[in-house]
Amino acid sequence: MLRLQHSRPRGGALAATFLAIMFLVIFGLTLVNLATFDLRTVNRAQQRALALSAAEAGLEQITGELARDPKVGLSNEAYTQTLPDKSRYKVTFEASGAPYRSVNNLGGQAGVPGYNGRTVPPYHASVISQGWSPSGEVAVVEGLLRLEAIPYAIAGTGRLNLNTITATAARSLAQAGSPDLDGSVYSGAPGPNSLDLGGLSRVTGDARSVGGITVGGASNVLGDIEENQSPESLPDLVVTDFINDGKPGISILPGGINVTPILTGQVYYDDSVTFTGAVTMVNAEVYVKGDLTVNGVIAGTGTVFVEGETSFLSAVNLAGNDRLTLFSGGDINILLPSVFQGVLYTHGNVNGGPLFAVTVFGAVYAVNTTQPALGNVNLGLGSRVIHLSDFTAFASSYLAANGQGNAVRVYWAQLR
Amino acid sequence: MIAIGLIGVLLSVIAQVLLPGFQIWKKTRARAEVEQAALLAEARIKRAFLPSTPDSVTIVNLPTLSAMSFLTHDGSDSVPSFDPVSGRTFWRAFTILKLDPAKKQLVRLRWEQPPLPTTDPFAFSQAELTTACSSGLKEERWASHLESFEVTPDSGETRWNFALTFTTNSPSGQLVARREFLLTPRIQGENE
Repeated sequence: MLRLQHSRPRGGALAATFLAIMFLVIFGLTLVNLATFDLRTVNRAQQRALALSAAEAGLEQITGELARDPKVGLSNEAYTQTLPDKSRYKVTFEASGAPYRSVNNLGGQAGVPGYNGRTVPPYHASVISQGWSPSGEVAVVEGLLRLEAIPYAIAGTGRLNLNTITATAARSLAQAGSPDLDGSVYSGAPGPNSLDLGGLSRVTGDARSVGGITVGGASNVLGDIEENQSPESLPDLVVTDFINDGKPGISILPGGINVTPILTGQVYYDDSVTFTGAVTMVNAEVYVKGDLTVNGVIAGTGTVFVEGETSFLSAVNLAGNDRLTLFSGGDINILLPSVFQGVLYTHGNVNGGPLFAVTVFGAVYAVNTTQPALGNVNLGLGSRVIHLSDFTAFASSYLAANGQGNAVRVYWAQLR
Repeated sequence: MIAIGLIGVLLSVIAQVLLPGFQIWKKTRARAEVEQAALLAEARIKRAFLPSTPDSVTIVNLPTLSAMSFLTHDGSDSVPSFDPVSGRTFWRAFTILKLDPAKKQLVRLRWEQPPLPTTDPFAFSQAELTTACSSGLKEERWASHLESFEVTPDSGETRWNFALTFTTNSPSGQLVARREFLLTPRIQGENE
């Protein structure tokens, strides 16, 4: 009896001690787990941040490459790089099989299929960059880019004589005039008074000049007035690079008086030509080996390369979907009040009739890097130039072809 | 008796070793909680703000209201949010972030009235943002323990500096965590 009474308490003590130790062990393990859970959470967040940084580095890298060479990606290349922190990125333009495919459509005039059912718009590149952290976390970012080679509303390597003009910018044609965005002007001419804003001129952005700037008492510059600046590199397009007489499907037409009312696709005039009557361009790319004189009605959408001078003897009134991108080797002369949609670019001077208002929804550029006497812009009383990126994108794609444009990111999303 | 004695010794050890440890754990826990709130807030703000544009940012820093708003496009892997012809971003809504000082929370509101959706970015005026903050929009809690929320533009108004202060109470007093970070919306504005 006595032995039985003594044995029960001894077993109870052992069990109680064992339970207490178990309790302590579980409690300790729980604390360790909780502590390391926070650590793991923070570590994972850091790794994700590294993966995102790597993906963004890839996007930035390819953005820079595209600005320098707009043909990047057209040969189905893939770009990978390991960064100093051991994270890495990959951007691939491979045509098929790649899970995140980038597409360069900077030179395209129509949308093309992109990643996961997307349509890559004309004059844009869709860049999708994958980033990996050292521990294998993944991030994917997408950027839609276009090249901007025409940042100014009015620019010239020579003097800008602007009397009662408005230089502004808008997001779209519908918003032109309200609200005004920054529309800037630039003169690359040295010396005093190289940018002359007389009368009731109004510039909603900056007025910038290599030389001096004169702003009349009744004129207004809403941005900065920046005189004596270092010369900027305005895009210098070589008109003769775009001669198209050897292209398949070309329509070779004689100079003189034009008798073809509708110009479609590639068109080549072998000499100076005069448009009389009505001429409609249907997505035309026209090359004139001489001067172009317009003495009638011009409409439609087209790009016109003129080796010599371009003169508009009659009023031009582009509207709706009409768009003219004009690259002229010689002067552009506009003799009557006119409305243009697109870009007027010349290696000579832009001359508007002093008493006639010219409205341009797009931009006006006069660039001559070899002859200081050229590259001037002279716009008449009441003229308006409204910088519209929609209307300059097409010209930008030409001007940026030699790496003279800036890449602008118009869309960005984190896909993963 | 021996068992009781052993348990007594054990409990004494527990009291001597574990209770201070428990106090330390509680303090560490409070620190971890406030740091986690800060980390979460930073991650959420970053994820929301990066796919925006500088043209749409509005800030109100008043004694009675700390808030900001910016456009959001909601684009994802399967559904991009840009116009396939012009490439312009389709803006779907305004994201509004504001400090709820009574609850010490950062709350997110979503404003999606006309003219949204649009491809033409715009910004609220400060008065419009103030009105939107008190218009009864559904509030989503993004962070707790938030004491102050300040956003200030960097030079050129293309980058914004975020400063958030989080506080919580612990056995040894108030704990403070502060986060400052600079963010640039990735979609470039018209005037950049």
